[in-house]
Amino acid sequence: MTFRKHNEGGWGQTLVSGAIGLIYFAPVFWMVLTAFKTRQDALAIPPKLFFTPTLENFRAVFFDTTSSGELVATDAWLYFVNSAFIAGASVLLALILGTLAAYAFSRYPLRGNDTYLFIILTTRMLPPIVVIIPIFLLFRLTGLSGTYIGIILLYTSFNLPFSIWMMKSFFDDLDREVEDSARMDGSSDWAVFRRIVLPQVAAGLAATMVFALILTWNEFIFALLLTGTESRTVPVALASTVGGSVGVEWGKLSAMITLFLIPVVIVTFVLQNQLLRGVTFGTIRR
Amino acid sequence: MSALTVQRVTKTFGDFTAVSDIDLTVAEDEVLCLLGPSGCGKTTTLRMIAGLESVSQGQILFGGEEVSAKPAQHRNVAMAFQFYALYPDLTVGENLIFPLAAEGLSKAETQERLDGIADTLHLDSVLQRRPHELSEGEKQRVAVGRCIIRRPNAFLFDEPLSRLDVALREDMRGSIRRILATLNRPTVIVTHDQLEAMTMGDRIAVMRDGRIEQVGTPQDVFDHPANTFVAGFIGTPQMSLLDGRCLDAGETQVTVGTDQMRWTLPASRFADMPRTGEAATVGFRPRAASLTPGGLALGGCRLVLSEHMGAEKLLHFDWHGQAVRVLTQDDAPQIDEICTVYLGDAAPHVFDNNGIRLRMKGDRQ
Repeated sequence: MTFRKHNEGGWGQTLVSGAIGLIYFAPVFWMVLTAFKTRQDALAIPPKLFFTPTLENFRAVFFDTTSSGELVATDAWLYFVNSAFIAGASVLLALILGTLAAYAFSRYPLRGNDTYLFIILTTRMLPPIVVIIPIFLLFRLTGLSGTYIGIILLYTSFNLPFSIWMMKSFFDDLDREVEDSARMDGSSDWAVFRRIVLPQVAAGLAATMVFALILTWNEFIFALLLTGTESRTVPVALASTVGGSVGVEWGKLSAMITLFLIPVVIVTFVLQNQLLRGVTFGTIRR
Repeated sequence: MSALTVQRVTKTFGDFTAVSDIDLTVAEDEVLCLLGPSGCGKTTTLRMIAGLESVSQGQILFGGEEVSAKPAQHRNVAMAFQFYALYPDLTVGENLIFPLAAEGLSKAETQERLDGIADTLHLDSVLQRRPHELSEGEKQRVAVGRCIIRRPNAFLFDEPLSRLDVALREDMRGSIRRILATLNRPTVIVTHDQLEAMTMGDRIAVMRDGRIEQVGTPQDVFDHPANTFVAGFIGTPQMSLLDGRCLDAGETQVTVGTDQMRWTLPASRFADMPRTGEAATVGFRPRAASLTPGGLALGGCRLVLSEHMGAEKLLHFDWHGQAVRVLTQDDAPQIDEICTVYLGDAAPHVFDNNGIRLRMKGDRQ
C-alpha cells in the first residue's frame, strides 16, 4: 500500500486545476499565436492552431512601408520608452515616498494616525472617471497637460496610498525588539531603517512594486486624456491601432500587445519568490 | 567607578503608572535581578535604563553621569532581549559584530573579539548561518554573545532564559553566571522566575505594581521577607500565611492567634513589638513545618491534597478556611484526615496589620 503525502494533490485535482489554468491562459495564448500569423491566418475560421509563423507583424509595429516601398520608422519605440519611463519613475517615486511614510505611520504614530491613513485611502475610493474632469482642468491650469512630469506625478499619487497601506502592514508585522536592539547597539534611526528594517521587508517591497507596476503599466484613461503626442504611452497607442482605415489589424495589434506584456512578465518572473513571500506575509508566525 | 543608579524614577503611560518612584543602585561588579509577577513594571524599568522608554520623573545615572535624556544610541548599554531580537537578514557572525561598528574598532580587533565570543559560547560552527536556521539554545547564545562582545556601561537581560527548555535553562544559567562574573559591569536581569533570580543575582529587587517591595541578597530576601507579598512570592513551595490578631503583647510574652488557636512567643525575640488588638499575619515555610510533635502546634488541619515532589510530598491542609502547606518525607495521611501541624523550633515570621514584617532580634540587616 502506498500513501500520498497529505498535502500533495492527486491526478483529479491536478487535472481540474490544469483545466482552469488553461481557460485563464487561453486569451493570452491566442493573442501570442495571432502575433505570428498572417492576416489570412488570423481571420481564418475555424482558428488555426498550426500555421507558418511570420515576424511580419512585429516589423509592422516598428516600420511602415510607404507607397514608394520605403521603410519608415513608426513612433512605437517612443511609446514603449514612454511607458517604461513613466511607469518606472512613478512606481519608484511612490515606492520611496510610500515606504518612508509607511514606516513613519507605523513607528512614529501621530495623534489621529488612523484618521490620516483613512483619508489617504479615500483618495482611491472614487472611480477614475469621476475625478477625471477636475484633474483634467487642474492639468490645463497648471500647464502639466501632455508633460512627462504631469503624468508621472499623477501616477505617483495614485500608487502612493496603495504603497503606504501595503508597506505599513509589512512594517507592523516586524518584531520591534529587533529595531530596539539595533538602536542599543549604537545605530542611528536612519541606520536602523536602512540596515535592519528594509532588508526584512524586501518581499513587501517586491510585492508592492509589482502590483503598482502592473496598475500603472496598463493604465489607459488618464494616459489617453493627459499625455500628448510626445508623452503617449503604449495602451493609448494600442487603442489608436484598432480603428485603422483597413479595419482592425489583428496581427499587428497582437504583436504590440505581446511586446507590451514582456516587461511585466519578466519583472514578475524575476521577483516571483519575493512576491510569493510578500502576499503570504504574516500568515506564518514564529 | 561606573555604578548604575536609578534615582526616584517614575514612569506613567497616560493615567497608568507603570513604575512608581523607584530607587536602585547596581555596583560595578554586581548582578541585580529584578523579580516580580507579570506587569509589575520590571521590563519597563529595564527599558528606561536602556533608553528605549523615556523617564517621566527622576534620573538614571551611569557612574554619576546623568543619562536620562540621552537616546538609546548614546548610552552604550548592551541588552539581550526576551525574544533575542537577532537581525534576521544578517549571519550569526554579522549579528555578533554588529554592535562593534559603533565602537570603531579595527578589522583585526573585531575579528579577535568575534573569535573570543564564538569560542566562549561554542558558536564557531554556526557563524555563517542566519538566525532562522538556529535552534532556540543557539539563538539565545547569539543574543548573549552580541551583548557581551561590547564593553558597555551596563548589561541588561530581559527574561534571558524564558524560552529555553528546562535542561538547557539550567545549563545556560550556569554559563551566564560564569560569564557575568568576568565582565565587571553593572548588570540587571529581569525575570519572573525566582529560581533564576536566586541563582544568578548578587542581589534581588522584588517588584510589585510598579514599586520595589524589597532589595537584598537572595538569602536575605528568603530569610527575612520584608512583607507578606515577598514572603508569599519568594520560595517554593509557597510560605503558609495565616491571618490572625495580636491578642496580647506583654513584657515577657507575645500572644498571636485566632479564635481557633493561640501561639505564645517570647517577647525577647522581637525587635519590633506588635501592638495588642491589631491584625497580624503569621507565616512559616512548608519545609519548617512537620507532622512530628514539637514546638508550636496548629490543630484541626484537614488534608485536602497531597502532591508528590520526588523525594518529598507537599501536603495541602485546610485550617479553618486558611491554607497550610507542609513539606514532608513521611507517609501522607488520608485525604480529609484531621491532623496537627507542628512548627518545631523554627521561629515563625510575624507581619503587622499592614503586612510589614516585624523584625526579630538577630535578623541580619
